[in-house]
Amino acid sequence: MNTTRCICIFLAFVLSCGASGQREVEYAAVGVGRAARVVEARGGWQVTLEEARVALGPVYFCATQAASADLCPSARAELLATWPWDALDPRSQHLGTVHGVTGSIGSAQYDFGIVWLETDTQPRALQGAVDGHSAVFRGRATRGDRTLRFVANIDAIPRAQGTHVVQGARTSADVLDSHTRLEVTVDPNLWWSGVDFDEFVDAPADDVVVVPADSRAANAVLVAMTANATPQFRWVAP
Amino acid sequence: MRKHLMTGAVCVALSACETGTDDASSSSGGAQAKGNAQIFLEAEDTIPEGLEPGDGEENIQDGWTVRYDKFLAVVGNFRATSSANSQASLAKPDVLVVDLRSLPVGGLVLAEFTDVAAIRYDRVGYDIPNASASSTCAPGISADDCAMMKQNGYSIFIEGVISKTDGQSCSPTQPNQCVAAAEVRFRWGLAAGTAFDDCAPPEGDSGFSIPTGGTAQVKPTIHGDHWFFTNITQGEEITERKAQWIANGDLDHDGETTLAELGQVAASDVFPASEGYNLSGAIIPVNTARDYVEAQARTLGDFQGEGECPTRRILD
Repeated sequence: MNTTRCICIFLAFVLSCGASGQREVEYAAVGVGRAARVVEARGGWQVTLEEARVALGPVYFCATQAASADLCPSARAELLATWPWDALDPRSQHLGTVHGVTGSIGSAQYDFGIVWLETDTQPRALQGAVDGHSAVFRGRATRGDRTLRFVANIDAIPRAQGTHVVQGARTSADVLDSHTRLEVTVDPNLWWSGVDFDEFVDAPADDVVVVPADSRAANAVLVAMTANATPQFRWVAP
Repeated sequence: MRKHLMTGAVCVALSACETGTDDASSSSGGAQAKGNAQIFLEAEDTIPEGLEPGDGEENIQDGWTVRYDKFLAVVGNFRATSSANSQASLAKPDVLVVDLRSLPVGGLVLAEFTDVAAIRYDRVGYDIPNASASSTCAPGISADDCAMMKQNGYSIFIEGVISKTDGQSCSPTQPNQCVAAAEVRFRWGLAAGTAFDDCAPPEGDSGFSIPTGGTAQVKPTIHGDHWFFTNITQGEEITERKAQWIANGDLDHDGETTLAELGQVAASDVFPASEGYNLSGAIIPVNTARDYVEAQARTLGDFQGEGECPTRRILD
């Protein structure tokens, strides 16, 4: 081994880190919802939400495209605060402060107000969860002259200890400094487009359907929240 | 976090020191330290042996037995570079159509690199692309199978059966409506071309090292059980394996679940969170059960057995 060469290479790396090294940053995060609108659901049902409150967080941003506990042991940035926010409000709502370092971000892993940390024996709702849930909805579904009014409490629970309910969500950013703002956009209307309200068609006409946690409808909302219509993360000028 | 970065830099620097070279390339001569690499394609045991029911980590948890009669894949475009040395690069763009149940004894050689820089290649990848006319039929695959893959532009084709003595096929939308189904066959071809990068062995640093004067054996590994997973794994395979959804996807109860049938089944109807399913992290939207098969087909590329290639990109 050429010791001199080794030292030179090592110093080059160290100096390189110093010259272009990561700097600590912090910036605001805001949540932006989408106003209620009629969406076409399965079976010809038309759904209109009247309430959609969501707890998003904590969120961990990773340098790698694929993120899991082993691939991203330390996050590049994190939004630890969890607040219930109105996902039908298109105005910016303060979600908290992102803490991290400069550099590129390739993915996110996060929860919806219910976490199962390595140190927890079972999942638990954070203080910022929506009445102890990941999301709370109220709305109506209409097909022809039939209208179903419904409420739903959705719990997005990590499937294993030390994991997050959403892992490896692709996102892309290169955070240069604190002069930025994280904008999180969700469209809760879309979360109901995969629901089949035929599951509740036999409910008495005047009753409000309470969507059971183990129903196909609740699972459809969960799949949309965590896989197919996930929150979008954008880094924008403050 | 900064500590992690610095530690990584030190490791890379020291890695370069260990090999005594920092400017090698795959074709350069001179007095640099040299070595060889053989790239073998390996099939996970689940492909020739199937999966057994049971409670073990590798078992099918809901009682089904899985057997493959055919498991074809397109594999190639192996590449390896070094973060510490931009000049060092290994590449073999050839693409082979492979019968993973008929690999030659001793393995199928995808590529051989001789007299190349003996350093650590930490950025390693390969493709499972869609077959094309220029793809090469590998030893062991029948002419008919190879032609079928090329004609359809498939990246993966599997054929097999799930079986369970008291098995049932239940309506995805009315789970209480079931019929007996002791065997359900499947025969699925997918054009799910995907690039796999940042490959890492199960333990240790990513990529592989070529020893000075020696030969590194590198094994891209195709897994055969990911569509039975209950989640889209990103790194370590923390998951369960279940097969009931395939039985439930046989909508006409003719004993075979087709991709067309799975395309009519909402993913949320057959992958309930209450049974441990989590569909996050796929590189395509997972609206139907067919999408789930494809999403998992885009995760089959692994490395050195149980190692992962977590950076996945859709290929046209």
